[in-house]
Amino acid sequence: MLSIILKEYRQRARGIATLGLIMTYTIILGGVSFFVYLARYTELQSRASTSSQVGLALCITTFIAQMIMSLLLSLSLNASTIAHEKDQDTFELLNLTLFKSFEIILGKYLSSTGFLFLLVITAMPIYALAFTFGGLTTLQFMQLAVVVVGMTLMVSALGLMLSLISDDVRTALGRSFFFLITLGAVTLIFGGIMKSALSGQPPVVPIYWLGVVSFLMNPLFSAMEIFNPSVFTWAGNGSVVMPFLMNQGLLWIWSALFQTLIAALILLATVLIYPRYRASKAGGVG
Amino acid sequence: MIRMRCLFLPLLLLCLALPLQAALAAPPEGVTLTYELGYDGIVQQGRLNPVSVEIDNQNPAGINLSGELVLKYEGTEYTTRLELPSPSKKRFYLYFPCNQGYPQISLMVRSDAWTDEMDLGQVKTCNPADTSIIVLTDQPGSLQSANQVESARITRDEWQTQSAGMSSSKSYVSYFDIDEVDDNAKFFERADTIVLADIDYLQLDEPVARSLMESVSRGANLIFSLGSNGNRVASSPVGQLCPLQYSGTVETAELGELGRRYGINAGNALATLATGQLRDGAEVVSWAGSYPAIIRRSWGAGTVYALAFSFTDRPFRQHPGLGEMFSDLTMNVERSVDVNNWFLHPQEIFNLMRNLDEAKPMDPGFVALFIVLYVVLIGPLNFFVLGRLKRSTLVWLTIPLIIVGFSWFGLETGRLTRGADNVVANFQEVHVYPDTTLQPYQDAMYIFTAEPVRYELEVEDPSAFLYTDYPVVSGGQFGGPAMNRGGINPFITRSLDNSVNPKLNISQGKWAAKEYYYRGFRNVPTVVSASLRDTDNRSDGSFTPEGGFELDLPWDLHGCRLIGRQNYAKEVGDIAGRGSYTMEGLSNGGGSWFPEENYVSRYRDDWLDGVRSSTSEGLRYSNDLLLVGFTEELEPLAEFDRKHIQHTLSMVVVHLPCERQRTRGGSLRMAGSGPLLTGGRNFRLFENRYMYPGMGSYSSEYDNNRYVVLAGGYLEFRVDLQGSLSERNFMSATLRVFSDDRDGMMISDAGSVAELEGLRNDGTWIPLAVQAGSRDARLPLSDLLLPDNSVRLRVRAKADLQAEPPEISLN
Repeated sequence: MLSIILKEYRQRARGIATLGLIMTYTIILGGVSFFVYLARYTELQSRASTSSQVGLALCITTFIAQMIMSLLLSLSLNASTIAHEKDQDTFELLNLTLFKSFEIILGKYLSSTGFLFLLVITAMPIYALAFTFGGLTTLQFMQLAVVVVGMTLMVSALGLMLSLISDDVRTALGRSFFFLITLGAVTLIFGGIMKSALSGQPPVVPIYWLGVVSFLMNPLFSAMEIFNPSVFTWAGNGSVVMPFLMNQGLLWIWSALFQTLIAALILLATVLIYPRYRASKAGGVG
Repeated sequence: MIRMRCLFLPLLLLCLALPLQAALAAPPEGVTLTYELGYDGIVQQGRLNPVSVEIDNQNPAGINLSGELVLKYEGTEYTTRLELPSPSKKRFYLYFPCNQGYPQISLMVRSDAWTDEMDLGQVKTCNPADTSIIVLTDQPGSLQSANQVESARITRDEWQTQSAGMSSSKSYVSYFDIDEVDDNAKFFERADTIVLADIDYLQLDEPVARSLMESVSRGANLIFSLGSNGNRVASSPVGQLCPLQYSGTVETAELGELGRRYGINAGNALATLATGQLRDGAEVVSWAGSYPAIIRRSWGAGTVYALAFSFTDRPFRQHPGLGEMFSDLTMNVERSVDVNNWFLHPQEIFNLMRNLDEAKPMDPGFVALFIVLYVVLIGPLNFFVLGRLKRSTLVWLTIPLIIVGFSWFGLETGRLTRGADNVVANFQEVHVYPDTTLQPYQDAMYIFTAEPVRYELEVEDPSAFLYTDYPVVSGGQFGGPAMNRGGINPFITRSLDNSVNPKLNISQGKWAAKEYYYRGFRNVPTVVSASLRDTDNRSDGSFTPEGGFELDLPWDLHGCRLIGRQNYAKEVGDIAGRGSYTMEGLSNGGGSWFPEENYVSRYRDDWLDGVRSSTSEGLRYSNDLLLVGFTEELEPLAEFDRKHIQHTLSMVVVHLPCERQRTRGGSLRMAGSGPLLTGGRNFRLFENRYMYPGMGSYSSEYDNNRYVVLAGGYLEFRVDLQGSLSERNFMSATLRVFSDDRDGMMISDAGSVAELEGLRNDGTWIPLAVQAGSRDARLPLSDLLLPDNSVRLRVRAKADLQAEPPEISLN
């Protein structure tokens, strides 16, 4: 498994695509932060905003930009990892090696997520800049990092599974983005219903549980809670307690754990179904 | 797939096993809660409003209630401790600053035995300029005629504007038993006038008396209704405030000038008037024959009136004339000004406080440079150098190193530009008045934390109120309120205990700044007296005070400046806290000042300009001379339990009464540029803002006050005369009124829509004939000239009329 990981990293280090990816990633994050600061600078000068408000705005926009890019990259990198082998007709060769199914899957997974984590931490200096404005606590920063890690693990696992069951990169990418957009939209809808119910009557049981799962699946809700811990506090008539005290400032950790669990289950499922897809393009199942 | 389902199943079951809790807790058996909002259910915008909650715990099982009582408004929770053993009953008071019409408020009980939330619905609200008259009485409804009286008011809307302005106003009268009021002065913060009617003065204990005194010191009016109550007033804890030293009563049927002014006729009934000596500084406002009927005396920023009669006894009981009388007293019409807030606007203070070097914004050029350097180093340079060295795989080592290096560099940049010290900056403004040792103050605190901290802020002053959002200056280009609020905006909680000693627990992040603002009273032994006189006799109304004053303050004042009306200003340097001073003997110059390290003290001129701006309207009418000085010796009233660097400055504003000049020479003039004296029933004022487009934006061109006097109402003016006696015989007045149609055409015969009246020097109003077909009326000055060399005129409307602004020219 280690040799698979090392081979992947050697390839990436020599590829011009890696340089382009890192540059694009940092330029977008840096650019977004800079323009947000520029837009708020006049407010700072005119004292319409405080430094801590600007720091927080910088952090939020950096986080949103980072999350969007992480999502796209996680999916595209992982969705292409096995499908690319199929496109290059090297998948059969890979299967002829002595590597077991779980070694191949984990090797691919760890190499791509490792690279993704490296990209994730490239945002650290930008966050450090936001720190100098105040308004952001170390705890909030750590919470955001945990949320991004959980999301990356889950989306990467999903991408890898779709990469395995797809015949080529194009199909894998298409399926991945369709799945991601659907998942994002559904969780946004049910999470939104749950959020609006917080200021009214308690929702009916099915909506309640769909809302709970949406809160756990969609990192946007965790981010909302990190920046405003009382956002999910029950304000309607009566009181509703969410599982594991999720709406008591702990959504971020439960969300990350849930996503990690989902990632582990998806990886397990991928390992289990791997033998069926060894036959690559032509063979399909069997 | 089956195995996967098996894994999901326990998770699903676990989730579903968790109960969906939805419970509305009911009060325990035998526990009842009642509440009252504001004064008689009405709250006022721009003021601090009380909410009294009475809980009766008669639980048969002996359950004690222990927890919190919470008032939630605009996301902030105002809390007070709830401890109520069984059986017992207690009244709790919560306060909130109302800044919008029909506020949504909820009341919560959080205790071990009972958790409940009550939505108090939409609450009836009155406007910032309206007046509140609180009557402490056993007979609710005794002052009904003073309710809903309309008038114009010069006041400072502290939540919207920087200085004072005029607006139309309505009075709201509410009634309380003496045992229903809080013994904290916050309860009376909203009251413009507090009337002590026929209460049981034995119930008026020391704490309530002190809160009444604090309220008057702060600017409220206190009215004693004496009559046969005089003896009980004199022996009560507030007896020392009464301008009349009671010695007995007299019965009379002659109400004299008082009766004529307010249309009160004793008829067959005899009025009982309290008699006695006037206290120092007291003056008679109105006479009932030869007896003083209304006596006034200043106390701090407020005024105390003694009505020699009891308004609940005949012939005053339920008389319609009481409406106008109490409106006059509340609005201080005699003095023509009602400025209830002399403080600098807090936003103005924070604008200066934010100049703390550590809290200044970073240059965008530096931010751009930082990002560009990072991108270049982590990308092209890194890959290029390693490529040339044929060590491309090392990028996996160099990238994390560059990330760590830049993160460290970024944080160190913050440390270099913003330091590593927590900074507390504090600016306190204290007003010192003659005759009282209670000084209203406001405190603006700016806390900058270089490290994340959790701290507790406690104001050791029960009468203080800690604000979550300090008032906002109207800054919108259309004159609307600006949306940028400051104040406390904690992420985790907006929970404030403002019940006894205001207290706040808060977390504050790295390099973050927060602003706090609170107000209250200091109780420091101070003595201020003045024998100042305005002796200027120039025709432009200049102000030249002469005479002297005495101070006995616990602090020496530095960098002092005297400020008076008509832009009078004089630098007088340092002034010792104790001593006698004459205007001639005061030194010139700025005096000594504080070290530059104290950044709050760098803005002396700005603080002084702020005083000028915030007091400009008050000084236009008041003849006070303000001595403004600075000290670092005042102890801060709030505790901050973290190590920090302090920048503190206290500004002390001493109000020195200055006697107006009685005789003036020179040409004739109208006092002031606008209407002189406004008041009276059925009087409304509208402010028209004229806007014009220019360069893509709108701005106000000028403001024009437009007055509407409803039929039966009147406008009242005072004209200061400065001509010689021989000139006065030839004077005539021209009344110019506008008809009610929008064209604003001048009517040819003012007499058809209005009457002109003048106040004769014997105290009676006489009609002044408007010449037929004209707008002119000749003034019989020999009859009208008052002892202070002025003439008082009224325009009494026959039909609804507008005046823009009323013009009376003297020839």
